[in-house]
Amino acid sequence: MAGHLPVPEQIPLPLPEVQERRLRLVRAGELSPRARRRRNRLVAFGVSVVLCAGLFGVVAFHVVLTQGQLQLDQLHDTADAQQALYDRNRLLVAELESPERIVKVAQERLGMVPPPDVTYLSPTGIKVETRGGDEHTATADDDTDPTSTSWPAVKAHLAGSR
Amino acid sequence: MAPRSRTRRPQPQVRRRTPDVRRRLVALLAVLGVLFTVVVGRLVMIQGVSPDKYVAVGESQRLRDVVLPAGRGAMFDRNGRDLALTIPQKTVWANPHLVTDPLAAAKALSPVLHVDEAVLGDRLSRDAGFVYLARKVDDKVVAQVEKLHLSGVFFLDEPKRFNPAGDLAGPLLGVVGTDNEGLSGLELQFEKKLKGTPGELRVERDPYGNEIASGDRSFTPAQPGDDLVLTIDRSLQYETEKALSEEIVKSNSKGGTAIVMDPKTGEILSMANLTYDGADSGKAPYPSINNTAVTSVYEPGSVNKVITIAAALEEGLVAPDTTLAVPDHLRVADHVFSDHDPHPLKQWTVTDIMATSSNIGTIMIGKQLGKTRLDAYLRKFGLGSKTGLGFPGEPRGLLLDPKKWSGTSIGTVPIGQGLAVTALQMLDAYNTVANGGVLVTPKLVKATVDGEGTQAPTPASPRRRVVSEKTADQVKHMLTEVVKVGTGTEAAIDGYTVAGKTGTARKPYKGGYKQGAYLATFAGFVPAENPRLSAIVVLDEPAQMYGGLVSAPVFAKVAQYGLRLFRIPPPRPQSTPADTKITDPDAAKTADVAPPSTASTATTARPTTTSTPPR
Repeated sequence: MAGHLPVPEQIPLPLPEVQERRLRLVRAGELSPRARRRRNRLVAFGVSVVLCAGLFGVVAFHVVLTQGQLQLDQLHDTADAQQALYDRNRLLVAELESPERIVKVAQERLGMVPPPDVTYLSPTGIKVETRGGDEHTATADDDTDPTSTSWPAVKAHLAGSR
Repeated sequence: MAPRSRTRRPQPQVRRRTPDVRRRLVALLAVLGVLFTVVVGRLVMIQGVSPDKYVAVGESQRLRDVVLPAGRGAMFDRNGRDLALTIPQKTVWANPHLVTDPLAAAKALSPVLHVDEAVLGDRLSRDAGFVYLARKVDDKVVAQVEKLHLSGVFFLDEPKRFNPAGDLAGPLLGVVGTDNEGLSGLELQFEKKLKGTPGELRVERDPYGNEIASGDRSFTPAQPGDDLVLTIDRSLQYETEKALSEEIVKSNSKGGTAIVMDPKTGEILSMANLTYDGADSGKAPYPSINNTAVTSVYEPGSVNKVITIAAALEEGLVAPDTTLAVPDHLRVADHVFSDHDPHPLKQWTVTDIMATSSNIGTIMIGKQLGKTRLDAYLRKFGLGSKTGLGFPGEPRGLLLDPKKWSGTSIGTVPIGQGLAVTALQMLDAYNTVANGGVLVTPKLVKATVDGEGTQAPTPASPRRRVVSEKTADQVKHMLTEVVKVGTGTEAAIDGYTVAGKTGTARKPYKGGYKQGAYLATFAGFVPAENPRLSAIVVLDEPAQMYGGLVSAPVFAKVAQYGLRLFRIPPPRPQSTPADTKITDPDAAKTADVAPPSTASTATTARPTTTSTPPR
């Protein structure tokens, strides 16, 4: 049986590719693409080096800081230990100097005994004129206040120690 | 051949799945949307609404605040010798969470720390991160604990207060609590100056507790407390306590008080307070709990006569050589007062009255003065008000308003009964005489020293005139007669002129007086010509009740030591003014050693409510 054949589809032929040529003006001194790529690589490398150096620097700085902190802590510890030692020695000296201990040692260890009676030899007082005009008896400590004379010697090595 | 249809048969599965997937996607989107909203909401809450709370939580995990305790200021004597100082000591603590075997640890620690094993076991078993095991232990204990190598047991530094001279001046210096807060004495009075300001160290730590070197760090240094330079002299303080202690034992007193001062400056050079439990206790006198020299009042007795006579002299009612006919007893209202010893009517000068400590003579002078003027002078001499020392617990003393005086008050008050004073108040009155009539406020602190060592002297003590210089000189001469030939001869010091007055007063007890209980006093100063030292000695219930017998010798011992210590030479010998010479020295000497049995109200015609005031 004669059939009615379908009309074959017409497939359009592909057009030949036409490569577009882009032309532009080249400025004087402009790098070629290759040179540009090389430059970019150099820049990237440089940035990497700077970054690495920076990081290294940060780490180094941190290490130095940590070492400094450690040294500072050690110094603080040493100062505290020395201060504690000083305080203990100060206490020890004060205890050794206490009149009660001295008397105890004198009597118990050295066998000393208090005299039954004490006789003092006293010179006659010398009258001196004071600023107010009234007379009074001169004494060894008239012009010297015990605190003002002996204190600086004691306090000098205490000052700022705490 | 049938042409192939290009349309496919509908596939029911695909048709059913498409809308379902869409619904699920929408649902999933909705759920994600809700979750996202929740997360965003939470973020807003955390970051926007209440960020502080979470910042604080974060900081608490990273940051650690360390309180730096301020060093408590030391106390020095006037020559810079340590009287009280603070030294760091180790405190043993534990973290029970890190203690592997609490009972074994408690067993090992108990004999070292001297803490009960059960108590330690309880502490080490608690659900806590920190418990104290023993506070402020010495280095030997620390070494022993370290040897045990116990897990979870650590040490920390805590300051501890020490008094290197032991109990010396203990009641005066006071005590501090476990946390070094002043509880009594100067420690309490100068708490603000001594304690300083704690500092703070804030550091950032890693999860292992190590400090992060470049982390947050802030440091506020502790401000140490000021040191106090006291007016006390350690050596004189020791001698004062020693002399007082010896006399307390010798006289079998219940205790005693002694104060030594520089009358010119008001500086207290020593202040001793001792208690004695009697010979049977087997213990030596020990420091009283309170600084009774400043905090306890007592009836002064005859030492108060100085004020009565000074007031009469100042008012021009009498002169040192004014003669009065003095009987041995006198009725005042419904009470008969008597002198210590019976005697015929005597023509005594005012100086005689002072030297013999005549009650009747003094009452006669007091009556001339009148209650208003007498009360005014008592107050001018500093009685009835605080001394200005500022010591904790210092009372004003007791002075009755003249409007409330009874009929017999004009008999009792002039001779030192019916009023109460502190030992320091009475010594101030004697200092006023020593200073030519000027009262100088007492002081205990000579200077303060800050953490840099800068010394700031305390201002000079305020002073005010009470009586004229002439009156003071007249009283001074009378007081020298008391020591030369009167009731206070035991206070004499070879080479020096001592001025002073004895006093023997009954102890008040339940509205009356305690039978046989007396307070014996001696107050005076030396050298009389130019007083450099003044002192008062009070003995509580001595077996021999007279101030002239028990307190005066202590005065002499202490004053003699003080004269050597401060290198005070004796003055050039001076003659005693003729107008103040005693006219009846024999009577005074006899009165000084009269037996106590003569002190009675036997001469009174009818029973009285109070007994005869003793000397």
